[in-house]
Amino acid sequence: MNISYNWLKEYIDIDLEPKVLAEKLTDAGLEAVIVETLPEFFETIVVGHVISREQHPDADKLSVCMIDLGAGEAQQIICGAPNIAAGQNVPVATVGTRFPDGNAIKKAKLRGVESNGMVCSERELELSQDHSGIMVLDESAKPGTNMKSYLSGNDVSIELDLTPDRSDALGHLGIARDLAASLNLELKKPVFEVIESNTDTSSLISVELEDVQACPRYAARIVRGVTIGDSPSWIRQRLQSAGIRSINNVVDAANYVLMETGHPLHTFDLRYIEGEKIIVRKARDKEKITTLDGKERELDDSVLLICDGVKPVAVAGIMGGENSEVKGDTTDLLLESAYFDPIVVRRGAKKLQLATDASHRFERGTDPNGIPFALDRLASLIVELAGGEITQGMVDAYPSPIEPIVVTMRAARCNAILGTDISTVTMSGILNGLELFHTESEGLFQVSVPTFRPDITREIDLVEEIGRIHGYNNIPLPDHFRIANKINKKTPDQIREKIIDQLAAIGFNQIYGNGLMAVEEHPAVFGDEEALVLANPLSRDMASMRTSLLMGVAKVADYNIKRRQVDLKLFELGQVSTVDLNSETGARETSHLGIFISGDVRTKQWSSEAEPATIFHLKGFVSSIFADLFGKTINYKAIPHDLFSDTLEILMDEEQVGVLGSLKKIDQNLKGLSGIYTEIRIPENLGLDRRIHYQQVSVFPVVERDLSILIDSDVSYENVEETIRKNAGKSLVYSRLYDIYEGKSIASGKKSLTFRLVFQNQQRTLTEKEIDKDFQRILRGLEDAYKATLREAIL
Amino acid sequence: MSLFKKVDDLRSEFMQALASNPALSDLEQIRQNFLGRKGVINDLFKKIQEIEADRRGEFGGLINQLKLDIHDHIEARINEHRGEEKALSSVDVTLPGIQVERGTIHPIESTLRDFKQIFHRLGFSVAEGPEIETQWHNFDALNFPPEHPARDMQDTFFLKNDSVLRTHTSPVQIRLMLEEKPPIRSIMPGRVYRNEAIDAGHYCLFHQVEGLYVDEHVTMGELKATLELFCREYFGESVKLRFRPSFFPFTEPSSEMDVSCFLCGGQGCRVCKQTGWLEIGGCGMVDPNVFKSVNIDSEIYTGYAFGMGIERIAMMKYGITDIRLLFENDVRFLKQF
Repeated sequence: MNISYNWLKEYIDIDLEPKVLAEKLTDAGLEAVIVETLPEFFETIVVGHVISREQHPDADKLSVCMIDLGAGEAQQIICGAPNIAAGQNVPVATVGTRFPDGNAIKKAKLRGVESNGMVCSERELELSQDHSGIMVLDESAKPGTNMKSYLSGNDVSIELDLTPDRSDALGHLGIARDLAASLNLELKKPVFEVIESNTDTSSLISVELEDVQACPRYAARIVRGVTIGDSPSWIRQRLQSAGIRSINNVVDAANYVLMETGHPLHTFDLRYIEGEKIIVRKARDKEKITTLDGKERELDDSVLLICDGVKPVAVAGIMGGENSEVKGDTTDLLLESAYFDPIVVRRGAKKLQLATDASHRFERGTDPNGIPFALDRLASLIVELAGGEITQGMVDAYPSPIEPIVVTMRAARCNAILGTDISTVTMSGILNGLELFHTESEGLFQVSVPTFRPDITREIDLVEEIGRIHGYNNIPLPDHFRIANKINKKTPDQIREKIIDQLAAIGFNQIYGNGLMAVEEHPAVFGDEEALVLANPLSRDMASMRTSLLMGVAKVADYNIKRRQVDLKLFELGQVSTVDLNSETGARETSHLGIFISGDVRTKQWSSEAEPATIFHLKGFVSSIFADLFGKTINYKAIPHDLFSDTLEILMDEEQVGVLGSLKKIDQNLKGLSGIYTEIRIPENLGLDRRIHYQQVSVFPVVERDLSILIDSDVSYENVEETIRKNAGKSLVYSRLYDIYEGKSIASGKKSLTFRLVFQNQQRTLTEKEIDKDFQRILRGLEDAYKATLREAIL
Repeated sequence: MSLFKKVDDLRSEFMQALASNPALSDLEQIRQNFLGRKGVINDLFKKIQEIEADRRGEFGGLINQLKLDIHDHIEARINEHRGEEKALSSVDVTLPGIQVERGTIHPIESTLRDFKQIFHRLGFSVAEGPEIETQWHNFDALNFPPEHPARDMQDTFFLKNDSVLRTHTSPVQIRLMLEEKPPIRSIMPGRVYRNEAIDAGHYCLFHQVEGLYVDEHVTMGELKATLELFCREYFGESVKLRFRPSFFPFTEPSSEMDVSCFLCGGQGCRVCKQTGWLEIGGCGMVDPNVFKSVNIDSEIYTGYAFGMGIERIAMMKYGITDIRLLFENDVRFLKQF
């Protein structure tokens, strides 16, 4: 909402710069910034006075004018508009002006005559669509005045970003009230007179409320004999600063009172109100009305209507009907000031997909007891601007008046929550400034909360008022913190951090993916995923929650590879979710780790060859994470998989926790993508039970033996390694495969495997004999199980 | 006797010559001086006749030993020199070091870590909760009335089963307060979702860190002090903090917090839209209605809560102007962090 600086000053004697004023408003909770309402090119548009006008010697339609621009000599300007005449004040775009369409004003010759600027139409200034001639300004305008100041009356526009609870601040008066309380100044309410004729309003109109819940109060006045016309400039300037376009004097008056009091009002052309009555009722199903914006709208019973004796004439609290609109020839008016239930207006606005200045305020709660004031103010202002007479009395249907409520506040409690030491006298002053009138005895306040503050219903709400007006920034800071002597429940987030640190340390880039994806896109990584589908997605490709990280990671990989970043090491650690009917949210959420490698894991350098990514790299990374970080042994089992070739299932404590393999085609759009991927479900308390016990380091020497065997090609490493381990005896510390060879010099169908065996004993130095014995046992084991033969033993 | 002493003198003289770390050519000169045909050793050897016959063997042995030692020393030095020459000539030491591949932690993650570290120091533990929430946890328990306009402020993703994608991490506060008795002093980081169109400034999901302290005698002053200390740690000692009254259903009084713009130092620039301030989050005193929904007596306990957007602060800190970059994951972007 935009407000006018000058307008605000009408209600409060302040001498603050607009910028300082905006800060004060912000400090009181009405976030304010100064804004420009007119476009930038206005900087070089000034008021000019046409001294003389002569016919152009060579062009029938052009005039040669001498125009006083306030400073220096009068300028010769050529103008093509038919309505230009000597004695007028006009807006002149001076040399150097650059219009938004790129058109720039330069010194130029038009058919041989020099021109030093351009006289503008309203359309050229983007003020209206009027291009019938140049815009003619007030006679009192001073040549040389910048058009910005001319249009705004030297005003400054302030934009307020209000929180939804502050319906009382949706008009200048309410804002001034906050300022008055903050600055300890007096609020000056507008003073006006309502002069009524002898005709009784109730003889002309009656009001029936069919739904008192939806419309607790409806008041009407009648003004007859008005003349529709333009508003004077002071109204137009203020509305301009408030961001409202001037329409005519009657509509402007209603908007003016709206922006003054925050109370929406509506004006009907009385000649179209049939049956001399207003009925407020719910719309019938499929009932139709054409609103002021020219749109026909189909309604249902969520919408409240204002009807006359025959037809609907307005959608209550949202927008008037076209059929009763005030027009140029309107003379008699019905003025409406009403209170509608915020929820009803909210539902109606939602149903009609229509948000207006009126609905915005009614939804937030207007003041049911401010209705007569707003209505009288409007009637009086209309008479001032458009003439006419106000008939006697207002018709006011208000069957069950809404009373102010009483809320108590303990001064001590207020200070205890804020951490302040505010005196009861100061508190009392703040409350009075806000028109929260009260009694106080021994620190107990009994506050009568006016109906324009529907947000205040409890003690804590009053505490906020005290804090807000006292100033949050004036609340002192304690020198010390208290930290409870207690350990709160915590998340084992160190699991996640360890994994991230480890992967980052070995060259991986962490990614953060979007958790939303298309319903039909879910790859079956584990095969048991059922995705949670959104009821109101942003778009089709974000219509469900990810069940695995694969698609997100693959898309990131594809994105990068398409940008020639082919050697990738990526990982994501994030939540995925699947349907779980036993959970209270209907979802089960798990933490997943997705790792992707492609291209070379080590690029070619002058010292070494490139090392292309294989599933064995990923196996190594995975094992190192689980073994080194969490002390868990991982096992792998080859399985078939639709998404991967060379797939392994990852097992921890006999349970499947992940899969690993080379990507096959996972999606139409990711056809060309190749890489190695693993996805692992991170168990909730992974490694939290791990206890590290120090093992004494053996002081006895290590003995290394290499074992090279010939074995059938189809015997797996896993089986060989297991046989070695089973037959080795206690002294084998580990065996490490360091060479595999098939081909020349080896019988076909055979392969050669070479292991380094490392022996050590905790208690003594091993003898050659003992090691030989172990070595022979291992060899025999391999011979027995797989008919392996010794190829070469390096002793 | 003096000839015997002369042997010792020559030895010291030689050692002295070596001590000056002679160059290769100088070593040759030293060798000539001592061991050459006209060298001092030979000269001395010629004087063997002057020694008594019974000590000539001893004298000869000493001279021979000195000769051998000098020879060995010189050879050793020459080898050293040659070795150095060889090393210098055979390896191009200007070759680049073997490249070490460094991985990166995502800027959202690292920003979150910085936050955690500071709040850990202030005695907060870390609690997390589900991203998919019941409406009760996400709204009702947090004092959102069913038809309140505040529900407009958070346009929410709903699941078909009526659960919601949490719009803030505040439901974790609710879960925590239901599970534990005060005092509670925790921060709650996590991913949240908003149903808003994606552009440079908005994404349909982002990350938050909220904090909660519930105990006896918790005040708004303490809230301000905690956040101010946090901001001074995170943004630097000179940062200024401003609290602006605001509205959230779950806190009363409620406040927004701004820090002085670190780009212009509060003078006003494009980033802070000429205000000199940057909004970093919201905070306030836990609303008594929230306490009621988790069965905590608000007459005994008070509490404060605060929340900040991680992306927003990461973007400010790293000068990122488009939030989508954070979720696009271009490695050329990631490798900068």
